[in-house]
Amino acid sequence: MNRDISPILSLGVGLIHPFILLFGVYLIAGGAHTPGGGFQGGAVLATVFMSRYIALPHHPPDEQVLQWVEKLFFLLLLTFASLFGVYHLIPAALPRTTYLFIANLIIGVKVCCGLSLVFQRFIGYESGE
Amino acid sequence: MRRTIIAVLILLLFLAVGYSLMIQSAPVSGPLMELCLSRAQSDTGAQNAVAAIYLDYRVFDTILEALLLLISIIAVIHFSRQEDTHHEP
Repeated sequence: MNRDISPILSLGVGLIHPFILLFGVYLIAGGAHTPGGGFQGGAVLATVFMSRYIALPHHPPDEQVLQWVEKLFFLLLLTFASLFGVYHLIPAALPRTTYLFIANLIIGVKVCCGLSLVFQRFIGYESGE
Repeated sequence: MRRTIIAVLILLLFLAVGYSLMIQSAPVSGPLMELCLSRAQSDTGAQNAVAAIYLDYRVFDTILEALLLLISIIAVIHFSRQEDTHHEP
């Protein structure tokens, strides 16, 4: 595991990181109005973690934290969507577009954590963790 | 040889299914589609009809899809760890 990382590679990854983040956040935030949405934006955000592995293979993100965040956001989605999307409670407090935005955001973070976790597990499995 | 025959058969099956789907030509318009397109924005506030469907009309589908992803990730974590311990000795 003493692989030297090319400075060109890590610099390039560092350069494209903000654009990946911007694109993912745009897909999530514009989900209600433009093509995109939580699942697609989350998948794009997960590529941040995957390209991070190219630049910093020896500093993987904490898998426990990712697991907890994913479960927490699933519970959030469950409560939020069932309160607001299914039963249409608190209709006056929150406009419909805000509901769509927050639900997309929750789904995006959840999918991002999930796909990065799968990627990390595959890396760990291949390197005989 | 046997694998090649199986692969060719599966490929032929795919082609047959694709051809039968092509002949039938799924409907590109219908009462449900027009209802969704015309009422999505006033019902849900979403300009994107897809978002209106998956976050409002079919929100259970979205919740269960997220649950499916969560369970499959738990399965990936579980099996990758199990395999490691079995290969260790």
